[in-house]
Amino acid sequence: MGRAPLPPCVPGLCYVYDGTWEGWLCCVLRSYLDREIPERIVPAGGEEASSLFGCREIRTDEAGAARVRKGVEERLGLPFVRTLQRTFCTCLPAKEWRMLLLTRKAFRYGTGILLYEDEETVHQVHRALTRLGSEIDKWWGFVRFSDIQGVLVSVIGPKNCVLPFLAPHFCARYPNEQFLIFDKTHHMALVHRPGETAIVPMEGFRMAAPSPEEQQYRQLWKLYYDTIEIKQRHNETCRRTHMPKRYWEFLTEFMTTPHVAAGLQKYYNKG
Amino acid sequence: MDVTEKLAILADAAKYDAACTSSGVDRSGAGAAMGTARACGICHSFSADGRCISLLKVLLSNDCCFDCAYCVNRRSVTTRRVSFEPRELAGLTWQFYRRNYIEGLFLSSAVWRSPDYTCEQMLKVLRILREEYLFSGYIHIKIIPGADPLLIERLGYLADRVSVNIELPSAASLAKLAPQKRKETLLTPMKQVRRLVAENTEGYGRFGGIQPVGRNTGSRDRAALQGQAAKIALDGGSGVGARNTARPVAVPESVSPTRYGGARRQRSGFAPAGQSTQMIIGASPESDRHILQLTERLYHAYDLKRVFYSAYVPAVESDLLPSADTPPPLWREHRLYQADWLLRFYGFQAEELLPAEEPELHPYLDPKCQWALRHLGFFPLEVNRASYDALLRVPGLGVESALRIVRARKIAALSWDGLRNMGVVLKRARYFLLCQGRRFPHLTRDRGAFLAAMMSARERALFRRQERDLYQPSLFDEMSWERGDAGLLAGSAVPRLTEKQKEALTAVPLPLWE
Repeated sequence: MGRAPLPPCVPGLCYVYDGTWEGWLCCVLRSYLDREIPERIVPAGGEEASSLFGCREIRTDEAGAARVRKGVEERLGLPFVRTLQRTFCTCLPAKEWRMLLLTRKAFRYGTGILLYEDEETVHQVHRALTRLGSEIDKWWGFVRFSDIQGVLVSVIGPKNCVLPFLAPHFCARYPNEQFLIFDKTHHMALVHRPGETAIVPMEGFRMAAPSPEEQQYRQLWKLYYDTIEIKQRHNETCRRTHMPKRYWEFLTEFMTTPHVAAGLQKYYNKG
Repeated sequence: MDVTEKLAILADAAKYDAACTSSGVDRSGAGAAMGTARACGICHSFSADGRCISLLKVLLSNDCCFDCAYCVNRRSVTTRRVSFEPRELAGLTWQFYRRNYIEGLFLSSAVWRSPDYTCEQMLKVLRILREEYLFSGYIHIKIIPGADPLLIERLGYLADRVSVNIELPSAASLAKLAPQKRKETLLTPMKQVRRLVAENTEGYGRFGGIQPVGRNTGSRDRAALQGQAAKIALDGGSGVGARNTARPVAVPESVSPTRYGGARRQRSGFAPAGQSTQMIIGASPESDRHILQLTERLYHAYDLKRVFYSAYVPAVESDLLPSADTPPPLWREHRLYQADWLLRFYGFQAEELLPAEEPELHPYLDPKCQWALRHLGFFPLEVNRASYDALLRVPGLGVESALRIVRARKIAALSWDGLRNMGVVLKRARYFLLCQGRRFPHLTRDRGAFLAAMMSARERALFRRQERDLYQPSLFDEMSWERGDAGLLAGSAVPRLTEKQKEALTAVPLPLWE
C-alpha cells in the first residue's frame, strides 16, 4: 500500500478494560497515545485477566470514549461504527483485539479494508457477524413467551449478545404488551412496557408457576408440534441442522413438564 | 368437542400441504395493533421431519364434499369430521401469536358444504382477527376452487398471501384423481389474484381500486362491484394486459374501503405477499421436464412467488395411486426444489436444465452438476474475470459465494488460498475454475474422485449401493469410504438411474484441462 505499517504488537502486553463499549473505545485511545498495539485485550474479572503479568488496566472515561467515537464516526463513517458495535456483540474470541486492529487499519488504509474478505482478521470478523446475524434470526423465532399474570416472560441462552437486536423486533411486534426476555448467558434482560423499553443487568431469574390457562396453551402448542410431523418423512438430521439441540431447553414444544405430557396422552393414542 | 381435539384432527389433516412460509411482506406494528411481518420470513420451529413451522397450519374443516383420490379428507373415507368455530380459531391464533409460537395463520379447508360456504367461514375468521383483534401478523389463505370471485377478493384484502393449489401437474391427472376439480376452476382464481395483485401494486396504490372491505356491503354494493370488475376485465383483458390499463377508477362512496384502525392502515392492498401454489409429486406419471416447464410457465404467466412441491405420501389406498407402502419420493422433491431455485435465482431456463433428450432429474447429481456435465465447453472459468452470471453457473458456487468473489476481486486478484479464506467451498467448484490462469493445485485426473466430489456423502453412499445391486464394477474402487455410511442410508430408498443416466455417468468426460 506504500504506507508505513502499523506499530508492532508488543509481546506480553495485555489491556484490561471494564467490558463495556466505552471501555473498549478507551483502549483504542490508549493504543494511539502510546503508539503500541497490545497482544491481548481482555475484560476485567474474566479468567484471562487474572494473571497480572504484563497487564495494564485501562480506565474508562467519558471524554476519552467520546473523543474516539467522534473520530471514528467522522473519519470512518457511521456504517463502520455500526460494524464495530455489532462485532462487539459477537462471541468471537479476542474480538476486542481484532476490532482494534481493524480500526487502526481502517484509519490508515480506509474502510475499504472491510472488502478484503480473504484477509484473516476481516474474514474472522465477517464470519462472526454472519453468525451473529443468523443467531438473531433464530431467536426471533425461538423466543417462547409464557403469560405469567399478564406479563409475557421468556428465558433465552444465546451465544452472542443478541438482546439489543431482539429489542426493536419484539417491541414492534408487541407494542402494547408487557414483556421480559432474560438472557441467561450474559445476565441481562430486555424489559418492555407500552412506551418504554430497557436492557438491564439481571443476575438471575425464575419463572413463577404457570396458570392453568397458560398450561393449556403450552399443551396445545406441544400437541400441534407433534401432530404436524409427517411420520413417513422423519428426518432427525434435518431438524437438528435447522434447530440445534442447544436451543431445545428454551422451547415450549420440548418441555417435559408432567402436566403437559399427561394431558396429551389421550390424543396421541388415537393417532 | 374441545379445541384440543379439534386441533389434533385439523392440524393432522393439514400437514400434507408443503407451503409454510411467512415471507414476502414487511410490516411494522403500530397503534393498537399487535403483530409485524418480515419480508425474509421467520421460522418458529422445525418439526421432527425437518420442515419449518412458521404458521399455524390448520384446516377450518375436514368435512369435505369432494372426492379426490389422493386426499386424506376425501368424502368416501370414514374419518371424524370436525370444524373450527371462526371465533375459536381466531382466539387460538391470537394466543399462539402472543407467545411467539407462530408467525401467523395458514388457513386452508376442505370443501365444507360448498366452496362459497367454506370461503364465507374463512372470511369470518380473517375478519375477527384483522378487525376485532387488530392482528397484523401474517395470514396465508388457501382459496377453495370454484368460490365466488367476490369472496376471493375479500379474502385477499385481508390476507398477506393467497394460494390456489394446482394439485397435479396435468389436466389428465387432475381428471383422473380429482374429478371435481378442473383445470379451469384452478386457473381462473389464479388469474384473478394475479390481476388484483398487479392492480394493487402498480397503478392503483394503497387506497385506490376496489377494496370491498365495507362492514355492510349489501346487494347494491355488490352490483356496483361487479360493474367495476367487469369494467376492468374489459379494459385489461384477462389479466395479461392489466399492467398497461391499471389506472385509478373512480370508486363510488359506498364501495370505498372502510378503515378499521391500525391493522388495516398498515396493510397495503391485495395479498401484498403475492400468490403461490403447490403440486403433488409422484402421485401421477408426469416427467420432471414436464413439471419444471409447467413451473416456469406458472412463474411467468401468474407472477407466482413460489411453486411448492409435495412428495406424495400414500395416505389412502386406491387403484389409481401408487401402493400404500411406496415411500414418499423425497429425492425427487429435493431435486425439483433445487431446479426451482436455479430457475428463480440463477438465471437458468427449464429447457436448458432438462432438454427433451434428458427428461428426468438425476438422482445422484444436483441439477446444476447435471447441466455442467453436459456443457463442459463452458468451463473452466477464470475467477477473476468471469461475469457474475457465469459464476452462478459453476457447480458448488451459490449466490453468496459469487457475490463475495465479485466484491473481493475489486480490491485485489483472488488466489486459491484467498478463495478458501473467504469461505468459498471448493469441493466441486475447483474442477470448473481457474485462479489467475492456474487450475487447482494437485487436481488429479481421476474419474472416481471427480464423480465423488460432485456428490454429497449421502448420495455417494446410495450410489455405491445401487452399483452393488447392479453387479457393476465400481467406479469408486480407488476411493476410501467414510465410516458411518450405514447411518446415512437409514430409511432412505435407493433412487433408480435411467439407462441413459447410467450411461452418462460411466462415460462422463473429465473436465480437467491441460
